[in-house]
Amino acid sequence: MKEGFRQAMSWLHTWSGLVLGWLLFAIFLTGTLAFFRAELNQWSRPELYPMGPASAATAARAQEALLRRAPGVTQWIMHLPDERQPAVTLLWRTGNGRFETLLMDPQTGAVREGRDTLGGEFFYRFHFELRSAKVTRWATEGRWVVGGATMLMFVALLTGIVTHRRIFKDFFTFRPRKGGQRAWLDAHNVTGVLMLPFYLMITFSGLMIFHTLYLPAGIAALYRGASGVDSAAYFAESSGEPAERRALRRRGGTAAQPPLPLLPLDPMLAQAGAEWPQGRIGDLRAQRLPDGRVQVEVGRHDGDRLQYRPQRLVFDGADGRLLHRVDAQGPAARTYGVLYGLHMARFAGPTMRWALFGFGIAGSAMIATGLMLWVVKRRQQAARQRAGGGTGAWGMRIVETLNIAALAGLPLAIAAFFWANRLVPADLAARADVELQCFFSAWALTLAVAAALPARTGWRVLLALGGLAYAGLPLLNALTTHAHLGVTLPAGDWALAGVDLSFLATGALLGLIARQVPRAAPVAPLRDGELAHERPPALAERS
Amino acid sequence: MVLPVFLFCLAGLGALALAMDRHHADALGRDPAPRARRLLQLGGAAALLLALALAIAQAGFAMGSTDWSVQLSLGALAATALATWWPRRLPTATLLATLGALATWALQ
Repeated sequence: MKEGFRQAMSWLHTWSGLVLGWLLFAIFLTGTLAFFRAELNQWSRPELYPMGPASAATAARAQEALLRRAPGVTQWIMHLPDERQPAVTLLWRTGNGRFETLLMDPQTGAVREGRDTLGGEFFYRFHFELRSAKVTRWATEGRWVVGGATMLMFVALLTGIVTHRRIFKDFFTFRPRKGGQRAWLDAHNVTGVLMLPFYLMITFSGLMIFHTLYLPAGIAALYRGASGVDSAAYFAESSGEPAERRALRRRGGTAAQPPLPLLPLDPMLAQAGAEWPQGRIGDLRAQRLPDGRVQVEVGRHDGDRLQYRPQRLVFDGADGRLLHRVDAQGPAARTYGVLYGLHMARFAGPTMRWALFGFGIAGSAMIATGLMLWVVKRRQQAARQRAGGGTGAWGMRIVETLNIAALAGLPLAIAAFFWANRLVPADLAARADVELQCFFSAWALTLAVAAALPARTGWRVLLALGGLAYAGLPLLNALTTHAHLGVTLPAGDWALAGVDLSFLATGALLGLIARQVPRAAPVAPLRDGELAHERPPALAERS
Repeated sequence: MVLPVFLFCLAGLGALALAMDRHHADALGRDPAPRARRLLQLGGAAALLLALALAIAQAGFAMGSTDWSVQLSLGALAATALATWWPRRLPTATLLATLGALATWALQ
C-alpha cells in the first residue's frame, strides 16, 4: 500500500463501520435492552403481577403441583425465582415428547398464565440470531450474519484505536459548541474511547460465545468417532461432566421411561446450601439415567460468579445421596466460561447492570455518531468541491436514508412493539408473532418515511414520534392493565416501575434530540481555501 | 462498597485530565508547570491503581477487576463531563473526590 498504515486503517475503519453499521446499531441496541430482559419480560406479562413471595418451601410445592398437573412426567427442569424473575419456571416432558413450559406462583403453586409474547426475550434473541418469529428455522443463519457483523465491529474498534491519532490528548475532550464535523467527531471519540474496555470485552466475548459454530474444525478433528463427529461428547466434556453422565446426552438415550416419582428435594437443597454457604440455588433438574436410576441436579444461581455455567451437584433421586460435583475447571473451559459470563452479565447487581446498560447505550451512540459523521464529512467535502450531484449524491442519499431508518426508526419500532404488546388482544392466536409483525412493519414504514421525506424532516418526524410513543407507554399501561406506575411505585416493585420510568425518560430524551435537529439548511458554500470546521457554527453545515 | 473505588477512579482521572495542557488551561488559566504535571500524572495513576487494589480486595480478582474497569469508565465519563461543562470546577471536584474516597475507604 502506498498510503501509510494509519491511513489504511482509517479507510478500513470507515468502510467496516459503514457497510454493516446499521445492522450493528440494531444488534448493539437490542443487546443493550437484553440486559434488562427479565424486567421487560415482567412488564410484557402484566397478568402475572403480583406474584407471591418465594420461600424455602417453594421447590417442594412446585414439584407437587407439577406432578398433579402432569402425572406422567419423565423429566423436569425447575428454575427457582429470584429478584428479577418472581415466578417458578417449569419445563417438563412426558414420555419422549417436546418440552412444555409453564410459570408457577412460588407461594401457592398455582399455574399462572401470561399472554403469549416474547417480551424481553425478543431483544435477546434478535441481537444474536436476528430472530423474527417465535419459532424459526433460520436461527443458525441469523447467528452467522451476526457473527460476521461482530467481526466487522471488532475490526472497526481496533482500526478506530489505531486511527485515533490523539487518543490520549483528546481523552477528555468534547466540544459540542463547535458544531458540525468537529462536534460529531468528538462525540464519536468520547463515546468510543471512554468505554473501550467494555466494547472490546462485549464484542470479543460475543464472537467467542458461538466459536463452535464458526470454527468447528477442532471438534471435528478431535471428537471423530466411528459414526461421525461426536460433538455431544465435546460439549459434555467442556461443561465438566464426568464420563458416565455423558451417556445421558446421547440422543435416543431415553427410551420409553417410567414416570418420575415425588422426589425428596428438601434434604438435597439443604446439602446444596451447606456446599455453597454464600450462594443461591438457581435450578433443579430431575431425570432418569438409561439404567433406570433417577438423578436430581441442583444448579447454583448463575449470578453467583463470573464464570458462566455455574457449579452443579448431582444427587441420587432415591436416597438423596450426593454423587458428583460438576464444574468445568480446565483452563479452556474457564476462559470460555468467564468470557461467556462477562457477556451475559448475570453476575451484575442493580448498580452494575445500570452501568452496563449505560455503556451499551453509549456504544449504540458511538455507532450512531460514526454513521452521522460519514454523512456530515461527505457533505462538507461535496460543498467544498461544489459538487452538483453525480454519483456521490445518490450514495449520500442512501446512507442518509438508512441512517434515519436505523437511528430514529429502530427506537420507534421498538416502541411499536411495546404498544402492540398492550393493544393486541390477549387471546389472539399466535399473538407473539403479531407483536413481531408490528415491530417489523413499523420499522419498514420508517424506512419508507425516511426515503420519502427530506432528511431533516425525516429526522424530526421520526424522533418526535418516537418521543411521543415512549412517553405514551406508561399511560397506555395504566389504561390497559393494573400493573402501572400508580400501583408499582407505591408497592416498590422496581422492576416494573423502572421499565415505565425508563420509557418516560426515553420519550423525553428522544424529544430533546428531535428539538436539536436544525430547521433549515444554511447553505453558504465554502470559499476556496476555507475549511469547514473553522467556520462559526451558525454558518457551518450541520446535520 | 462501590463508592471508594469510584471516587478514587474519579480523582485519578481528574488529576490526569488536569495534567494535560488543554484542561489545565481551561481550569486554571495557565499551562501546568513541569513539576505540577509530573505530580498530577503520578498521583492520578496512583489513585487508579489504589482503586484497582481496593476493588480486588473487596471482591476477588475476577469480580474486582471487572468492577474496577466499570468504575474507570464511569469516572472517565464524569471527568469528561466536568472538563466540558464545568472546567473551572475540575480541580475542586478532583480534590473532593480524593477526600471522599479516603473517607469512605476509612469508614468501611
